[in-house]
Amino acid sequence: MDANLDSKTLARNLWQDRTRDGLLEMLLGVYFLLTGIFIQTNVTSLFTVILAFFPVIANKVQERFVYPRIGYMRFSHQDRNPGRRIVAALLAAGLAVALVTIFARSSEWAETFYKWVPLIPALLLAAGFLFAAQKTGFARHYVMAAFSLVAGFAVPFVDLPGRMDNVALYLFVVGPVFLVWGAALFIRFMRTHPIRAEETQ
Amino acid sequence: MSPDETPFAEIDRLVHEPARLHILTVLSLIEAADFLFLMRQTGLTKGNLSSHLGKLEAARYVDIEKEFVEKIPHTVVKITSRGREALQTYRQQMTGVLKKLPK
Repeated sequence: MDANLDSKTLARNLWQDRTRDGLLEMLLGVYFLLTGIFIQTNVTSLFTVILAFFPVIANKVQERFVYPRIGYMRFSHQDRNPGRRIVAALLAAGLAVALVTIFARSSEWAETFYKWVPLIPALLLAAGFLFAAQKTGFARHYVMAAFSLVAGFAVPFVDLPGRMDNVALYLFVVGPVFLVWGAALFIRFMRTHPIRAEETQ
Repeated sequence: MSPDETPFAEIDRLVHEPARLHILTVLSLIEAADFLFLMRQTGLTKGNLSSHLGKLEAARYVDIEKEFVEKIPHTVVKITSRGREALQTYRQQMTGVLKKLPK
């Protein structure tokens, strides 16, 4: 048995257990790739449908692959609140982008705005991964925060013709990286954590 | 002085036991967990965990819900408000006792 009983270490262990499967990174990767494709092809209705089903898909994958290996745990409301704040921040950012987009459509600084739009998801991603790093202590979350930010600053320097091309490019840069990284973590998780649910019945 | 008259007499022995203290501490940090998750977090065997959970449930420190998910039995454990209070009281009592110990 782990001799360390201080609650900070226990809380960190819980967060590490929750994030070691790489599922979050993998799903983020898929999500960004799909969003990038939808932006480029203007198929927003399909995007909305997939967005609505994403939590359901994530839950099903966890039920099928994660819980039989490491067990099921639900964070308390206190710990789930930051997640709600992040969702609220994402919605606020989305609303802000929508408003600026509407007002900036005919103005001169619109081009500059669209060029630097990738900074918005970059900052949100970096904030999310820094939050995760603080909770888990995993170095990979710091690396992902840094990568999201660097990509967000680098992409606007690429000269692309379309208004939404820079955002799409950002998503096509971070999406595959998250997907591959998450998939590698997920495969390792599956190998190192055999199914144990039967032992507990 | 009999053991019942010492300052340690009021300490809840049910919480004081390391394995149960570990279980209660883990449960106090989350809303709910299943049997497998608690086994992994505490390092206890199936029999040990089952026995300790039984004692905690008898004292109404935890709630145990058994359900079937796709014909597979699934046990979900939650700490009760009584369990949280017991843990808090235990923390205060131990802190008080340890503070009075000579250095």
